[in-house]
Amino acid sequence: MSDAVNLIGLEISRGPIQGISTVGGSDLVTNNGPVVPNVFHFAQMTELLVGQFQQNWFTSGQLSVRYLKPLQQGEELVVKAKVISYDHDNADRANLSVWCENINGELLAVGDASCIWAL
Amino acid sequence: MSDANSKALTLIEAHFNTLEIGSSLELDSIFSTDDVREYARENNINWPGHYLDQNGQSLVVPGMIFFRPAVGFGLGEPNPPLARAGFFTRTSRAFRQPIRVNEAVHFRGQITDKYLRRGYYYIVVDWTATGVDGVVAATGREWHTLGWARYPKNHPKGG
Repeated sequence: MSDAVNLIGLEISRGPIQGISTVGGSDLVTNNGPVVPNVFHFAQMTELLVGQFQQNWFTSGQLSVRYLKPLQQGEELVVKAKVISYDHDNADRANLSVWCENINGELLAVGDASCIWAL
Repeated sequence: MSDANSKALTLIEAHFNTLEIGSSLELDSIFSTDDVREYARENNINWPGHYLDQNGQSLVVPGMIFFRPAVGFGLGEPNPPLARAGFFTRTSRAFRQPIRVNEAVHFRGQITDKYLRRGYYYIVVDWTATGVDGVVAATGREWHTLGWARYPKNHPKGG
């Protein structure tokens, strides 16, 4: 899709969103106190990407994430993504860098996403 | 190392030793409206929001699809250190078709690796979620710790 050519460099973001999530009602605790399960990060990344790619995300979305540092309970998360390229084999598929930061700008998770852009 | 941590690690290590690379499990699941609504509430997601198919039918939030099978391979046993289930350290997921609320989903998971690294016991599991029509809806590779307990950095197994 020719419109996709204009996507490179596009940045999208979501947040800040306060992390208050638990898993099945259980608090997860580290030495620094209660933390938000990584499920929350993925959920927020998904929310951002579904908002951008709409229906295409459900049929062609791909997301790989490495979790680097926990989000503390009550801390705020910001999710960001940037279109960096198009797939070599399919110009309609956009490749993105995706990452999560806390409100202080510390990197909590990094990943790559891709999705068919054409509707 | 605290007694609680030592006890947890003993249980986790025993469980780790029972897990075999290549072993698999299968389970069926249905995501109800209440299930998805609760997940959305816990994770601050606007649901149904964008999570609708072209006919306006509510869809399961994609990240939730792999939440339930994450308790496979003993991670959901009622053994406190394991019931805490540890945490995803890495995940890679691909979505191929939407899963609608109240539709049956068949999961198959297979352990593709397991190891002790930096004091944590890990398993790597490849998951496939298949919809009612027999078509694969999503695939995922999940890197997961067994429990939260870890060997301290100065322990021979902590490095």
